Amino acid sequence: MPDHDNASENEHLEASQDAEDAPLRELSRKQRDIAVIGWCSFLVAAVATMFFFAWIDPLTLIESAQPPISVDIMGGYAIGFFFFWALSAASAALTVYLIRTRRGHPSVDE
Amino acid sequence: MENSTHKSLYAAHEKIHPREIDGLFARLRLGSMLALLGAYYLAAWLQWDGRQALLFDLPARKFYIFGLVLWPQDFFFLSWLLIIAALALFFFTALGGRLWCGYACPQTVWTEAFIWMERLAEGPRSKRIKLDKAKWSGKKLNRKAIKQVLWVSFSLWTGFTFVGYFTPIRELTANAATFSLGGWEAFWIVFYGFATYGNAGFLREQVCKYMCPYARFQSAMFDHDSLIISYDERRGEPRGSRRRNEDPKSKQLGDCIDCQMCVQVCPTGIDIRKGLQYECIACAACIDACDSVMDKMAYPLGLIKYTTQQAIDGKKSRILRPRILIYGFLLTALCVGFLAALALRTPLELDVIRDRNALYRESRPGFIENVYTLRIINKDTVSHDFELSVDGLDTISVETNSDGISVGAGEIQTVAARVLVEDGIAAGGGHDINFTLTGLDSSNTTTEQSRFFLP
Ligand code: SF4
Ligand code: SF4
Repeated sequence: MPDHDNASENEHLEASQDAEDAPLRELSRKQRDIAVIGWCSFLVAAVATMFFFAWIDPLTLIESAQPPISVDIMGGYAIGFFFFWALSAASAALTVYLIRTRRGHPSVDE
Repeated sequence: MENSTHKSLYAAHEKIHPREIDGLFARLRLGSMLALLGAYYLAAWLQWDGRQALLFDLPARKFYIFGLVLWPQDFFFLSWLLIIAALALFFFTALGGRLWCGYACPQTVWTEAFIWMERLAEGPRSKRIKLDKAKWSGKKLNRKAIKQVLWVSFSLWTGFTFVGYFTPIRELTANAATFSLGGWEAFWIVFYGFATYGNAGFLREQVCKYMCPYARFQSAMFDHDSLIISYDERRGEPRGSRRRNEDPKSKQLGDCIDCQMCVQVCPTGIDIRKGLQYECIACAACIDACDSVMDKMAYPLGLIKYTTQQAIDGKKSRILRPRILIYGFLLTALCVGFLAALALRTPLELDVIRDRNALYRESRPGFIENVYTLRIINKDTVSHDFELSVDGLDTISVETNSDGISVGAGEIQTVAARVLVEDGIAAGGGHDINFTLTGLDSSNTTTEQSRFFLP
């Protein structure tokens, strides 16, 4: 089938066009940093929550809270999870910030 | 990208529209994807003994896994499982490279599902690219809206199923149908749905490129015998286009016709011909693409193929090598140990708490009494009767308020126990004693140590 040649040539043409004209989707480095910080701290928080609440029943924490709070057990898990997430995100964000602003780092020398 | 690092750091990045491709590996991938998605969405609905077969009941703090009920005290099993999973990942990565990424990672599986829906709404790759470039029109709006509706409903269904593993899914359905979902349930459904949408609809290959720890660790797990996907440079180069019946040798060309198919199908948008790159998730789409081209050109297949570094270097690859044997041995040992521990697990737990108010008291003339609170947890799925006994001192005996001790399935019972010993049979101070709970209708037996105080 002589068609074949044309087909593959067309595909070739199409390919080079795609590369130039494909719409752009931008994820700047800052966005990437935020994504990495959010995601890694999410993973760590998930594991931390699991270990923590395997040993501690949220209800015992809620009962002994000072001042008293009115939260049910699912609320207890949620607070725990978001607490761990915030904590690890803060630590990750600080780490990224310090590395990014270190003298000699490409992003400083630019 | 090429001109400077400065530019590449902020490089505008093209939305990747992988070209659809059929072939052996595409089918394998589809099969594994359907199996995994099916398992995820359906397993929540399985029933066992009149309850949900897989339920991680967080409010009651019990995990139901078919016939097994795990309590927080069994957390040890969960940690053990995590260790097995981590080791298995090492093992399979050393052996098969990134098989996980290409066929089983939720990121890949859900991304494929989202791309499938995108294709459904917006058509094949070339149409999608045109649509993205086109000005906003009724047609574009319509297509995009359909896609978003599909994506959002699928995400919400994913979130709903996820929550269904933690709250009985039938109740959840009933509540959702009458718009009476609990606040936390609704929140987690939306939260998880949002995460699914973000990762599989929006971020996609960026998760693999920038956010996945495994993608970066894997070089440490690889060796020269690990399975990789690679382009046969010696055979393919120099690349170049040609007519179908032209002899490549006459044009001094290798087998690569430079059609870019392997680049167009790649979900991470890389060119495998540039060598092994960490962005490559080993999905094998480029193998299918290249094989179909080789087939059309009537060249031998396998210009891009599964191979190993050893084979590329012209050496023989080995499957059995020290790394594999050690991982394999550890993995087997851990699995056997896990199953044995699970089989030997007594579904019974006894906690003994000494009465803190009084060390001892003389209850009847000549007898010293210590008081304890026993917490008995019957982790079994049926109720059991038990008999309580103590030993460790002469003349020791125990009394409880009721005669027999009967604990319902999955229940915790608190029992007050008075232990009596004749005065003067042992020196003053603390002595070790043992409480033993013996199953009357089962072989579940447990012993717990405590202290008995004499004046
Ligand atoms: S790179 Fe990470 S996120 Fe991507 S497929 Fe592999 S394991 Fe999954
Ligand atoms: S290079 Fe090939 S195997 Fe690797 S991600 Fe791209 S298409 Fe998949």
